[in-house]
Amino acid sequence: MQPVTGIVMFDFFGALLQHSFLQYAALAAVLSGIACGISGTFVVMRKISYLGGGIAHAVMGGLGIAYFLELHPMLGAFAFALLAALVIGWIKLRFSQNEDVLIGAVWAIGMAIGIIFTSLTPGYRVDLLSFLFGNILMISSGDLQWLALLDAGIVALALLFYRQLVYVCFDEEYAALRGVAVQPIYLLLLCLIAVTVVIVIQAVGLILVIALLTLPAATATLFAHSPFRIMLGAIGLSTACSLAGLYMSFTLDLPAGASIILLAGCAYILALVGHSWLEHLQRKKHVVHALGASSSQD
Amino acid sequence: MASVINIENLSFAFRNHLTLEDINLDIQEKDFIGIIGPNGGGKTTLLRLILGLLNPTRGSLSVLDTTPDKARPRIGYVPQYGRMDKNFPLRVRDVAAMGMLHPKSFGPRFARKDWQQVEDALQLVHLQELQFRQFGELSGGQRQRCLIARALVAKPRILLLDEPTASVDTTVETDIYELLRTLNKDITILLVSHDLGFVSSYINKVICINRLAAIHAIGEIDLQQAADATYHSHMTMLRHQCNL
Repeated sequence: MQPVTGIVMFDFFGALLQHSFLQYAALAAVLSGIACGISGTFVVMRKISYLGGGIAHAVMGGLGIAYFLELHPMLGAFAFALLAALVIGWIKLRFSQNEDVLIGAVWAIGMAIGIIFTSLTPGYRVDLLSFLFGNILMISSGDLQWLALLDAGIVALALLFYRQLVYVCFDEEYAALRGVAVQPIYLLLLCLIAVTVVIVIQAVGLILVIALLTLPAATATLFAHSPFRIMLGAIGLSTACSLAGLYMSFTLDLPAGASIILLAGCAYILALVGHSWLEHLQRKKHVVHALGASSSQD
Repeated sequence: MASVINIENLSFAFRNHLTLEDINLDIQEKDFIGIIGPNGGGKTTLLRLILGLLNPTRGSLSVLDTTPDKARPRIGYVPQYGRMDKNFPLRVRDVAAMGMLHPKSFGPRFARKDWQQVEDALQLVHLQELQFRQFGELSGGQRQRCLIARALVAKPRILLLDEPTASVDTTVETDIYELLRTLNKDITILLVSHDLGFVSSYINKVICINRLAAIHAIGEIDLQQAADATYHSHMTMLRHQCNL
């Protein structure tokens, strides 16, 4: 028999108070929401989700090597994410003509390295699956401290270089004319995305990273009209989706990462429909207003 | 009057292809110069050399008695229309404020005195009432004026414009040229244009450029003929007149 929702909800919050793994998961959800909101806004404004995807998948190589060498997987992810960001940045700045092919190559080579090294690693491989699809319920307090540190780094750098990042995204050439070091700023942006990927992998896994990076920011873009507000909106949305996804996963016994992404996707589609409906209403109002004005003139 | 841009024996080659050859130009303070020539003739290259975004292959170029790199903060630039993402979430005043950007712009906000300068520039181009609108909501002409404001914010001595009226209608074009005429009281203006006929009543000199370049005071050339002629034929005509 299905339990009544109220009791389930009580169960979830009761469990949240009781179990540290759920508290860690909730904190990780908040941290990944903050990172996603900030980096995702730049990804959406600059339309570089493909680059984000490349970085996210290349991280697989770092995870595989870390497994093989018995290092902490997050260390491997961090190193490979930054490496992938710099390689992709270098490709983007130097070989803009076949950039999509080259980024696709980085994407696939990273995955291939990861798969080869995991197959070389003897024994248990279920952890790797959790990196592909997220393991938010398995986060330790040590992991959480690292995530918090990375998050603080993202927030600090994004605030410090906020104007330079925004204007380089808007008009690279003019930013260069104003003396901004465009290429380092661009690489900084890719590194912010890379670090975000490392954080978010803990929550939703590397396959779904790109969705959490883009969907909340794209949703916020529909209703907010400045990069800063979009960021705040995206932070709120992705945190909300992550927490709600966690709740959904706990109560319905579903995988957490997939639940989070499903909610973020639904939120985006609903927002898109709502937004076009609002625009339609507004247009109608304008037409009625204009007709009213012209008839009163007659 | 003082010379603001001085170009001597300048050549520029891009991938072994000579785009500009042996250019000699002297541009005086408060000149209003039209730069005309066919596509690929080197108009934009000349602007980019003046901005220091490109370096001459041979010859020398000085701007405001120094190198283009050092003069750059005192040069305003209005790029070709339509290059940027119009749906980028910035307000009119945010776009104009980009002109206040400098290498040490740290932190999320501009200072209050920067905003004062932004508002002054927006007032000059008559966009003050629209400053809180989204850049993407503006009409083509308003957007172009916003980009002119961005170039004016830092109070430049020279203003470079690359086809500022390429995709706006004739009334807006007149509007923009009238605005430039007012600005020309204090600022030297160089304007790349595809349409000499229209521009000719505003400019005092014209640079004809097609790998080689020549500068004419506006009285020297037959304006009526230039206005009537199609683009290529009036270039031919000029080339004959000045023995390029």
